[in-house]
Amino acid sequence: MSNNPEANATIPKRLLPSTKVPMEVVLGSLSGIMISINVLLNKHSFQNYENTEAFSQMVIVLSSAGVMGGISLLVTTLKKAGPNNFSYSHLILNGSIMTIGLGLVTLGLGYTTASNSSVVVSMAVLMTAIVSAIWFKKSFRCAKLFGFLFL
Amino acid sequence: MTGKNLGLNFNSGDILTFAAVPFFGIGNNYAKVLRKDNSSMEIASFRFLIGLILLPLGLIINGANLYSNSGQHWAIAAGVCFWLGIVFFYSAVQHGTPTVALIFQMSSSILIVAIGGYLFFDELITLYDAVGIIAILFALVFFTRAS
Repeated sequence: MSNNPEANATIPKRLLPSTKVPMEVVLGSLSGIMISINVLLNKHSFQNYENTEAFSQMVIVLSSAGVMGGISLLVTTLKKAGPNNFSYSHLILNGSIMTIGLGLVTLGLGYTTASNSSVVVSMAVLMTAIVSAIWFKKSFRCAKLFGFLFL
Repeated sequence: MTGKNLGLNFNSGDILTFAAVPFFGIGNNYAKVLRKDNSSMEIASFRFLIGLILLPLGLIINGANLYSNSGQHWAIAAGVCFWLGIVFFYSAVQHGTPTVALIFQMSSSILIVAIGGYLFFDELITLYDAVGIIAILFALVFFTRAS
């Protein structure tokens, strides 16, 4: 691409490199920012309040997220035109598994550093890939193994 | 062989966090199965709702007092931020590929927490930590690109 704007004007727009930041990059980064604020706030309340009881702290964090989840689910259900075909038993089991995971991470923050916690949690990507390979009988590609060596 | 023999210092917090990792691995793949009948947001909302029902029950069994926690407002704010993080992630997935969204979510959270930990909690970032963080960022790119 030329530095001359007049020359660029003749190039069709679709051939010019896009300067727009993709939405998934913006929203993905925003998600990371919100999650890191959650970790730092959580660590702050663990560190700054001597009478903080770890279990009740974890319950407050996840329950406030639960209230938001409940409101969101209600809004989604009301907006939905067709009938809901929720498989409740599976959703409850999945919810219980994830609640245990999130509970352990939140409890762990009380006893470890914030950076240690976020680095260890990122290992969930590796674990998801391994479980996926076993569960859906997918091949474990070389690139994944390379990533595994890094971790 | 303990963590200390390897030059690593594991504490109960690290062990609890490690213990959580398999639950995420199983839960995420289970969600993949559930995606046939439910949207991602419905599954995520249900997860939090189950937590809201189960955890206070655990609190009663544990005998802990919710009102003894004087840092409640920060904990509530942390929960809301966590929920917003999940909402942003699913919005990112709707706009593009989960691969890119996951890379940016994980890398930004690791970096911000490392910097925030250093600034607010005097958590030192050693050379070992820095190398580990860089290695994990590389690994994230390889994993998500390969999947």
